[in-house]
Amino acid sequence: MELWLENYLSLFFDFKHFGNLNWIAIPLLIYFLVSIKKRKRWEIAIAFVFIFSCLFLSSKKGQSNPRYLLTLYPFVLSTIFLLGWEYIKNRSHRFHLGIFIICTIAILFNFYHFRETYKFYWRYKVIAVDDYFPHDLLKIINNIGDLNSDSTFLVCSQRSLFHYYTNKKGIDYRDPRMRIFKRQKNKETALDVLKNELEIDYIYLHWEYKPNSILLDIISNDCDLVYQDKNGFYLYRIREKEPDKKELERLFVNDSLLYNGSFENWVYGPSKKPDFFEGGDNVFEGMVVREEKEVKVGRYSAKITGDNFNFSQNLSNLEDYKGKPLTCFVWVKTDVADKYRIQIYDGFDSSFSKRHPGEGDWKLLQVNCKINPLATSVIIRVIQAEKTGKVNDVVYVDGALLVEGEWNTFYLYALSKKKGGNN
Amino acid sequence: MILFSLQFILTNIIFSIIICTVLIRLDKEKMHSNLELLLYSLGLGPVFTSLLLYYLLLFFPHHSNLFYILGIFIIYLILSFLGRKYFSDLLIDGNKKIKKIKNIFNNLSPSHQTKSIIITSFLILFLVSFLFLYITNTLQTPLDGTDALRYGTLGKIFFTEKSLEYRWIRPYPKTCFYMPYNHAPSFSLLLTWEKTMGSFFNADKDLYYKSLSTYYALLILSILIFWLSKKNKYLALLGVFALLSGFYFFETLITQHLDSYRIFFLIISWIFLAYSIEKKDFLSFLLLGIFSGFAAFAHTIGAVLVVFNCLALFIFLKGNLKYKLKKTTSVTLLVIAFGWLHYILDIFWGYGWIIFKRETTWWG
Repeated sequence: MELWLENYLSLFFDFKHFGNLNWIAIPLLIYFLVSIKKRKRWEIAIAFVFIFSCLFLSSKKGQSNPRYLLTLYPFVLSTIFLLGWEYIKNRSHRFHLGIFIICTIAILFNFYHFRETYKFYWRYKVIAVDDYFPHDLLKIINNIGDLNSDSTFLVCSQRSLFHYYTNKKGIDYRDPRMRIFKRQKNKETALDVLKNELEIDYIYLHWEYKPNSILLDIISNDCDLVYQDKNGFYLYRIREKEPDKKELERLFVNDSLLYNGSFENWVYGPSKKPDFFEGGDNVFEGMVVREEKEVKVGRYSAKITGDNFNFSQNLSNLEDYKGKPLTCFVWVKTDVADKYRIQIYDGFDSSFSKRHPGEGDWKLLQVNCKINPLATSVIIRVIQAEKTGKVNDVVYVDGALLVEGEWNTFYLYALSKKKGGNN
Repeated sequence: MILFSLQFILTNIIFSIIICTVLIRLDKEKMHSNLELLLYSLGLGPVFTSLLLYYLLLFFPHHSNLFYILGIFIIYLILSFLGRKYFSDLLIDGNKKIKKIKNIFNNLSPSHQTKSIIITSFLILFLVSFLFLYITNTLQTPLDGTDALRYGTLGKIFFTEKSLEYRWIRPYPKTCFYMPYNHAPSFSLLLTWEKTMGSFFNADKDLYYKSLSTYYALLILSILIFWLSKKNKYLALLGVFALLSGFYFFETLITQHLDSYRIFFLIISWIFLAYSIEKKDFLSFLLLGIFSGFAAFAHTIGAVLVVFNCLALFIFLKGNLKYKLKKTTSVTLLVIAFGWLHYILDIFWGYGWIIFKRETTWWG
């Protein structure tokens, strides 16, 4: 019954989209067929066309695309009124009035019952109070400097805004050419197809769109977010190439600008500060100790107990860093939420990482900054603890790296993978 | 906005009136009222312009904008020459109708007069408020919605390439645009027409294209009012609100889509199917063929449903077999000329339409 009402007969019983008078067409049609001998030829011809139209639209899954059923709606409603009038025209004035009142109530009820839908569209289209249109994103796609005319986009959105509003190349996710991508069983080959065979550089995605899990995996791990629109549009750039792991190792391990970043050297003893690091006034003897169990990189890490302190390294060759971008990464573990972070201070400006969420796991914190050309010092505070009054809070620090340039954690994870996930 | 008004008045009003005068000329037996013909003709201006552009781009591709505009204007000039004597008929009829309404109004009792004024004022206020909001807000919002954007992109491609070639080559190599539908491109060509006209004013707008859904939805409402008011004016009023209480129809008034456009032609084709069987006059057969053709030219659904029109005509037309065959063949040829041709081209040289469903095309 439900299948019939909601599917095959939805033109007559989908009150939200076709009003609540359309069902009257069914008894009228039965009445028409019963009295067919009295009917004129043109009436039978119209009934013939109508019935075959209904059957065709049902066969083309019209019920699952109500826009197809809309084809018949004005005709059905007009016929109901015309035939209905023929039926009641010889009745009394009161009878007419009664029918009119019943119909009016039914119509008003429909408007009232689905008022939120009408209200939404009225606001959305007629009053246009809210801006649902991704103006900025489309502008960025058209104008941003590094999007050259050869860039190809993978378009994952039901709203076909891309081709109408931009001058870029875009392959729709449902384009038959995407079959080769969808046939891939793992992320590596799929990414290879995406980059090398389909030559896609960017992914344009709306949050409602549901691409397959491999594409989602690619978006999470192999793309950088270029722009996020307030209405849920995202623009991602596929990374041009996987980072060269030897190069990463050289950069992050050998060329790190911090000395003793993995806290392996403790020449003054395990209960003194590690080599090259110092604390401010609030780091007292015994607060920083060598840790052998909770370790992320190498054999040791640093365990710091206390409150309201900076644990830092002062870069000596200041002139080398003036005006340059730096990135600092530090592995941090703590149970205390929102207390610890990294800070880079150049005498003028401070840059901070996010705070550790305090879930008791090792988290890789990261801070990017550009050193002021007039910098008077460059101090890397690998841990800065906010004052909370709790002097027994503990934090473990390990694997602190400082590199020139703008980097993100992805590259460090890539390096970690090479090293068996330990680093 | 001025350009939009110009395009709207030219394409939807002036071109439609020109077509209407030709239809009045062809209605030698005076079987149809001029007002009724005018009402139906108001939907013909845009689609006939689209059809002319279709044939021009099909047979004479890669010419300048001026070539296509002149081609269309020349045809309308010829049509206005053919219907020149009937412009005055239309005006006289309009005056008569106004006088008739005045007389009816004057003969009403004062209480009925007040009631009529209130109802008319209410309707006019309702329509004017809607149109004001529509023109100042709705029309100004960017084109949105999957289908309208896809048809629009195709229209832009036709404008850029000055050819229909890319209706049969997908994806479009310059942008990789992939159009998954096989419908005839009449709706898209209206954007091509807007852009072609706009090119002379250095304008790159789509206001006219965006207004089509509302225009045809209002025409459908007018047809409903026209038929129901013949029975009773309150019935017509009730019919309008009943139609709007179906959210899908309400949506066609404020969003940009081709639904109201394609439905309009189909409904009128059914009206003329009834007329053809009942009255058997020349104009009814002609308009059955034309409106059925345009229903096909607007959408694939129309292309299938008008086949039932031809079948119904053949089965239910009174007369001997020769007469029935002659009339059905004439109507079928008209259907082909006014839109179904696209699907024939598509079946044999294109994607195979709904018959073969080829991925690649012979055109490409």
